Amino acid sequence: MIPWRIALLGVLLAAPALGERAPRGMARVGPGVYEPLYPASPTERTVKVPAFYMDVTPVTNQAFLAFVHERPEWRRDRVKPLFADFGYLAHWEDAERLGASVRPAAPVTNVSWFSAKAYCKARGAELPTERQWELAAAASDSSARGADDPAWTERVLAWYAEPTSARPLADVGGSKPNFWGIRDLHGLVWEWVYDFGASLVTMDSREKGVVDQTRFCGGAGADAQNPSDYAAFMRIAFRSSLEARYTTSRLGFRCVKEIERKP
Amino acid sequence: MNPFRTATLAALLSGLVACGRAPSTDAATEAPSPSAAPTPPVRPPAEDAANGVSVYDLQIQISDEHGKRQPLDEFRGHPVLISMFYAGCPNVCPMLTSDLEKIDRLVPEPERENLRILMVSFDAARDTPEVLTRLMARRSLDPSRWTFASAAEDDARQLAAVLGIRYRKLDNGEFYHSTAIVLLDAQGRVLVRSDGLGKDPAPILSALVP
Repeated sequence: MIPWRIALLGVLLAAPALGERAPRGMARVGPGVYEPLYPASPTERTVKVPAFYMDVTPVTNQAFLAFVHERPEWRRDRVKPLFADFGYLAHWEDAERLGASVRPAAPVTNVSWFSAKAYCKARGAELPTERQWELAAAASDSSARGADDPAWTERVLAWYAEPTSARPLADVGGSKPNFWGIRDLHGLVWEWVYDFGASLVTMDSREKGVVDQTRFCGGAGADAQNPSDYAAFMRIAFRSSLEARYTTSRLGFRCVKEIERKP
Repeated sequence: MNPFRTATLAALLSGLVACGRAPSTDAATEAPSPSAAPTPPVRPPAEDAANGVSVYDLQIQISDEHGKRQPLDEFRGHPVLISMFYAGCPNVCPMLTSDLEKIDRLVPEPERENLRILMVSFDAARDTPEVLTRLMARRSLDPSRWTFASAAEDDARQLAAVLGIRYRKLDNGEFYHSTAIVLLDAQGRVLVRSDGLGKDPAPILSALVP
């Protein structure tokens, strides 16, 4: 009986991928339905996301260093200021070495949107769209809809509440794979998405230099579909505060690939 | 009126569509949890100019109202008023064009002759050369100084990123976007950005006319 069961399991596991294997280091995510916190229009309360491949873990210092060697225009001493601010790769020892204090397997941070995008492009991949990232991140380790599991939601929130300085960056891969087989979507670093500036919160919160916190929460939050999804709210607020050349010590990225559809 | 339209209209009327580059205190105060959300560093545009940040470092192409594809840096050598839009936009984009016309009329010669005005659409699929030509003809815009163009998705996304213009394509084909007019100098450095519509043209004019 056992071999039969294993065979069946194999069929079940392979079936969603239609006989295709995910590229190395990636796993297949979706297809799925994503419920944006702020629907862009009344017809977009749920958004269908076609299946895609996603890096299982965020891009590491080591991998980004290899990219910089390959594409010297992305060295921190050569990058054009349009593409990255002064904090770009600032934690590395110098332009071509990580140095002893940087863990090679920790997620690379201090990278701009342009540099992250160039890295993915060099690998024949791209940055995930917000929809792709949020679909992947909505899954707990046992379900595509983690929001249905209060314990999971609580664990995710605990990370967002944790002070940054209390926690040096761990190596990638430390978290359990989620329903799709993706790790570290919560609890390690913030991640760039391709359309990071598209969130609607900006429209409601940017009139003045000093933000009225009451209006920000009361006004923007009131339109949210699931106001209890505080983690998604924080991600949107954070993404809205970014510009393409910004870098920060807790902001990394991972790549995705389209799934080739054979005719 | 549906709620989305109402929200858009409210945002328009209150000038909130202007949401590009944040003042330096903004990012820090906006994040709900300053401890968890790192504060991005901010450089004001003036400092960018001093540091030689040029929009023309983007390796992107635009396709003008004649369907001619050209690298963005063909505009190098002229001061350029640049903005982004889509032709299907019912309210904002005609007002944006009017704002640009108004600024253009206020620029004295000989500066005016040297000035270029570039509107780039992020809706390349629908804003064909025919559509763009028709738009320009309706306003009798001088084609020797005005260009209506479109950019492919990834190029538009990059241009919007450096101009601080935010947009989202909706499933119904419309775009939700912020509005800004940016003045580039002859090297492509951002001299002035004006967020929103109907803003005082004085900062742009004083940067254009020495």
